[in-house]
Amino acid sequence: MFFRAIINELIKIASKPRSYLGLGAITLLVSVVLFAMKADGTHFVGFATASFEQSLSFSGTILNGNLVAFIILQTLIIHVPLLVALVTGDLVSGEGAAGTIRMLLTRPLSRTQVLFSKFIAGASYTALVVAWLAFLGIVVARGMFGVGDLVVLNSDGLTVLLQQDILWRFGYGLVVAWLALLTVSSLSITLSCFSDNSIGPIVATMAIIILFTIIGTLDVPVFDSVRPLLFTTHMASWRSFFEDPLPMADIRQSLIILLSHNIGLMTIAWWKFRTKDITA
Amino acid sequence: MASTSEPIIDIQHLRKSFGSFQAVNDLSFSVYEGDVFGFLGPNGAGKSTTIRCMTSLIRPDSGSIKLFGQDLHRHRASVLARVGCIIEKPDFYKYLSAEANLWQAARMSGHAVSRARIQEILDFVGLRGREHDKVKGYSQGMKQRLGLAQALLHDPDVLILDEPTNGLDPQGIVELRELILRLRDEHSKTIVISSHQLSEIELIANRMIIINKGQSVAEGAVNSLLQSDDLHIVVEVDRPDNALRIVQQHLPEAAPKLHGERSLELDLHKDRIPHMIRVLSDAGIQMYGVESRRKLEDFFISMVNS
Repeated sequence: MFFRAIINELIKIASKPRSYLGLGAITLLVSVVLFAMKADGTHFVGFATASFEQSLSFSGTILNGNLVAFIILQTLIIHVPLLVALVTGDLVSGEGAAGTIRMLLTRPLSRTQVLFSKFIAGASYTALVVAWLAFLGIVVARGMFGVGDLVVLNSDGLTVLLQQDILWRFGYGLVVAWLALLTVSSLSITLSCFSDNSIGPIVATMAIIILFTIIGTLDVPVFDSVRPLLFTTHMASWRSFFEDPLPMADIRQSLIILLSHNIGLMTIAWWKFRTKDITA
Repeated sequence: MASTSEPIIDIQHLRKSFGSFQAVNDLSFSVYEGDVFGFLGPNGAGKSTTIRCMTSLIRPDSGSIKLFGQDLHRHRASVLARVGCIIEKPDFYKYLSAEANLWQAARMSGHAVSRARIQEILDFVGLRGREHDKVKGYSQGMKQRLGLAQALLHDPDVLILDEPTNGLDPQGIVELRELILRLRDEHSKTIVISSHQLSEIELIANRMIIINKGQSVAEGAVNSLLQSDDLHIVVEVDRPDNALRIVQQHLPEAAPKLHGERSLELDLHKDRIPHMIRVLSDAGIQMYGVESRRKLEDFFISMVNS
């Protein structure tokens, strides 16, 4: 029965036009970046490496598929949460707004099963968004620009990663990116349990992301103790896989924070949804 | 109908409040197998809250809800697998077709529902041929029929229909009534139906409860509740003004008043009807009809106002 509920949720997501809005937006944005890199990528890379050219000499082509893929992920991973929230924020409250929650919750299925079928469907959609981003960003970019060593500018300076040492970093990085987006999904589902209209949870999720991001970037001592605990601080943790050596302690801390957020948020959602009176 | 058997739905001392508002207050009633049970009450009486408690949408503060002899909250899944319902109004995923919506319901029904069963139920509610249309293009009547289809899909023993005539035009109401009567007569379903259409309940229900302010004010067989020696009478006459004056003079307790252009209406004990006929006849008033019937509407109003 639980498996059937997941199938139902996936069908609903696949049938809603808004689900394709995110995928379409990603396609458009990636296309713009790919076009820009193709048209003027050499100038862009030259500008970025200009400050190092007095102390370093670059041989070969820095502009390749791996660099473009990295730029695409870095540019878009900040915006993708908004596209995810558009779908996941509607999962519970959308049923309330449409009135279908009454039929859904009078089926011989526990509310816990209903909620977690939605969570799994939301997680699957999030995975699809990440996979689509990965396909466009990595597969297409590598196809268009070819492969080569990846030069990444980190806080410690330039890191050069060998061509054969890159794909697994993208793989692990995307898993962490998915976990970060899953936190956004859990947040919007949780907010969705407190509302009977679809727009509220989506807007509230975006507002929380913006607020936490501001707190995270505002270099004020009063936020120092809070900053490491905010999930938004760890949304760019996928980049840690492009450092050499890998900052395992940082990665571990990010995973723990993101997982804790997911568990905590879904526990709140479960508590609320289980006891919610359906009066609408 | 089968009041000597175990009740199929048994509600005892149900209470539910929202803040300081007591929506349901110590409500008890029973529904028996084969009943078409009318659930009546004015707006805000607690009907919807009670029905939502019976379908686990609302958690009661106290009291017990048993269906098929099992406690709803302890045996929720097994109980709801035997119940089909329309709560308030049937809402569907508008971006899906009718058939896709039925498949959604089928997967969650707790029963194996075949493609043939879906076609059969579409036939039953008269939506065959429109099953591939998206629900967003359906009329309210079609949605109600689709609502009945999803409720019946898994062949439940009990149907709970909360205001199923909401938004229906007269034709739709007649069609829905016929469907419910077929379910009662051909499929032996136990049906709980709440409605503002009192005439509909009168036509289809064999037992009923009237609630007001969250409490039961009358419960029992429709026929026996409506049977009374105090009757509401409408008399069609040739000279209503004269007839009114004569009845006021000889039967002041009947509180007569004009009813339309050619009739009087009055409340009278049945033993006094021959006397009324005699005084009108003696005064030369021509009578074309005497309708003496206690209607559910009158009963409902008297119960709610009492």
